[in-house]
Amino acid sequence: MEDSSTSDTKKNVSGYHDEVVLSVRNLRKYYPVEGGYFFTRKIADIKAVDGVSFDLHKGETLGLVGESGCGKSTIARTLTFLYKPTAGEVWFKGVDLRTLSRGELRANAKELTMVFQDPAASLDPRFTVMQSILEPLEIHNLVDEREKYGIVRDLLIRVGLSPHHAYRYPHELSGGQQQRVGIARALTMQPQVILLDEPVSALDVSVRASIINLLIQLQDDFSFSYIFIAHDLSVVKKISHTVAVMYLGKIMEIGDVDDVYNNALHPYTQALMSAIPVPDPTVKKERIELKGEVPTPINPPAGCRFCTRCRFVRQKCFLEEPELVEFENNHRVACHFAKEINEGTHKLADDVADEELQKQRGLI
Amino acid sequence: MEDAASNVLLKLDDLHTYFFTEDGVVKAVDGVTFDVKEGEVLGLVGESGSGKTVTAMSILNLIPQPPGKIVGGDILWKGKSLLDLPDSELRTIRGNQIAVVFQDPMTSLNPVLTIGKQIMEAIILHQQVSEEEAEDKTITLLELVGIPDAAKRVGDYPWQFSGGMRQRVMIALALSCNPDLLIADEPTTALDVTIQAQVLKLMRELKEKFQTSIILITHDIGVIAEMCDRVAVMYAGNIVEIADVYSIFKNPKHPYTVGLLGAIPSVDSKREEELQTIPGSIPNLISPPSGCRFHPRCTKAMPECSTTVPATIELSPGHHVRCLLYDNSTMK
Ligand SMILES: Nc1ncnc2c1ncn2[C@@H]1O[C@H](COP(=O)(O)OP(=O)(O)OP(=O)(O)O)[C@@H](O)[C@H]1O
Ligand code: SF4
Ligand code: SF4
Ligand SMILES: [Mg+2]
Repeated sequence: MEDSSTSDTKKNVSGYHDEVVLSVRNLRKYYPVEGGYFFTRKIADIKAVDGVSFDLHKGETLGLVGESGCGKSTIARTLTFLYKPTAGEVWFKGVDLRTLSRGELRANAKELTMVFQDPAASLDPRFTVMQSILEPLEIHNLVDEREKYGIVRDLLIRVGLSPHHAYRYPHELSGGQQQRVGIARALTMQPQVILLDEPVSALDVSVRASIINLLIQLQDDFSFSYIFIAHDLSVVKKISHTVAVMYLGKIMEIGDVDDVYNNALHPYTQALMSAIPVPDPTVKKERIELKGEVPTPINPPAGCRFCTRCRFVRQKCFLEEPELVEFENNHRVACHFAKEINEGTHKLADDVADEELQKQRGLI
Repeated sequence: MEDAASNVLLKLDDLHTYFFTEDGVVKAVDGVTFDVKEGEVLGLVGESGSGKTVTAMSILNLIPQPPGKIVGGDILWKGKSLLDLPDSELRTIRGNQIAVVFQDPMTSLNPVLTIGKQIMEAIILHQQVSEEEAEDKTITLLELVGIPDAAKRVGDYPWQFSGGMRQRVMIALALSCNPDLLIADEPTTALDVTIQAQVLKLMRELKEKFQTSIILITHDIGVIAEMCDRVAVMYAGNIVEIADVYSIFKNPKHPYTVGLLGAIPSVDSKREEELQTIPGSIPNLISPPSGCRFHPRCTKAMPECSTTVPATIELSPGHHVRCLLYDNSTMK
């Protein structure tokens, strides 16, 4: 995992480089729930991210999907040092970030930048576009007066704006233009990794497409690595090489985008994918209906976290937590019965005559 | 789609709703015509600010006045104009025959009343039933929309429900009066896909079981394809195209509809294929572009597009489009 960002490595069959840029091991982030008379006593933990591991390669987009509250944004924020992880390791270009001093961390922070959901709120209304774009450079004292305009002009052109936008204020720009400024700002520091948390959700359909095209174009040109979060599963499909499906703070399934979307192994992924609306009225899709609600992350179910809603659940699932294991090439899944389910030899829990199981499911 | 009887329930006829603001007159809805037939789902699709919500609010006479005002056109409910009805009669129609579900269920539910109480009140207000009957009906309704343990949960407050459940409670509330028409404004936008699928299924069942007509407002083209019988596409306060759902998707005519459909990634589009884009952005409705409002962004624009306001042309039965490309009277 050494720094070879300058070497011109070839892309692999999946469309990105073999070099690992960011490596996350067993990441946990708990938020305290405060109680007591003055809300000063910690009474429980919200286990927002609870043991997540993955590698992000150079030039790769990792899409994070899962229902709201499953921990996607917390991962992004923890990786950009907005939040300190509760436990786990984050290796960036071969360095364990826990071993770094504060100053060294800050130097790294410029290589991991973030683009937020709401373009208007993420730009300072009192700053011109030029000031916004230069701000990260100024924080890091990296700006040479004479070069300022040139840098900004190049960045604006890169993100599809024109140089005269440099002197505009955010309120004079449309939502799509503001988001382009947000992206230009993320590019200022020449980052290796860009975390995109719902970067197109606030944009209109017609504008969204051009931002997606831009992100793909920039990645192809500069081999940035992206972590891309969106609740729109079709958008994630479009931009990602790899997709991780999260549920209650854990990764349930991770693999190449086509495998996860077209050959989902985990019962939760299968339900999620079946719920995507298809923009074609002649397609009548079969839905796997998910019963019930996501349990609270304060007290997630013992065993498999999905056991309260899984249509394939067995007694074992209430007791033992499945590991995320490789099922086939580059495709990992956390389910005790992934093989049987995939082969079609695993009965639905409804069809199993096991009184003990039905009792546990709360059906008796 | 069988012809669900051409019984027109609601007709908007050249509706104009403006907002008179300090900056100028916002022509939010500027000549909108469509009808809703019995038992059909009509989709209203368009980008932010195109006037979808204002159209819905106009039907219910819920436009904040001032600054808003319906300045022209008519709204006919079962053949009768809603615009010259006295307030009391309008309120009866709104409660008994037309119901509405908005995007954010938290702001539409009363936070200090239990869910059961809110639904019961609505039932008692609109139907001559005793308190016990109303309570039974409330539980039945909550069960119908899939709230588990409904009998127990009637005593809970809105905050004790998750977003998806609140949305279902809102639908239960809307159904409490057996409406003929349900107006749903972005009913699933705030929800996760799996919950969205549950809510959409519920709405489909309503239509099938009770022949409820639905106006479904959304910017999600996938949801439109899945739910609607007919689709009206809105742009900058106008309806630019209206047709049955198959024609809209297979044979779109208006350049804006074509652009919109090309701009959405489908689950099987490849990463390498560029998405189509529509240049520019949505116009300001205080001084919208002259002629065809889409002309500054239209790749097919002709010289006359900036001067001539296109008329709505019926291309084939039921397929209307508002674009000079199809207007023979202006063809070169
Ligand atoms: N109370 C108001 N005062 C002034 N202008 C208003 C008011 N309500 C709406 N408008 C304007 O009317 C136009 C249409 O708004 P509308 O809310 O109907 O759009 P929409 O199609 O529902 O958009 P979205 O997809 O964002 O919900 C917009 O230009 C909006 O700014
Ligand atoms: S481990 Fe059991 S409960 Fe979890 S997904 Fe697999 S079958 Fe379902
Ligand atoms: S009227 Fe002209 S500008 Fe408007 S949509 Fe048709 S071709 Fe385009
Ligand atoms: Mg709206």
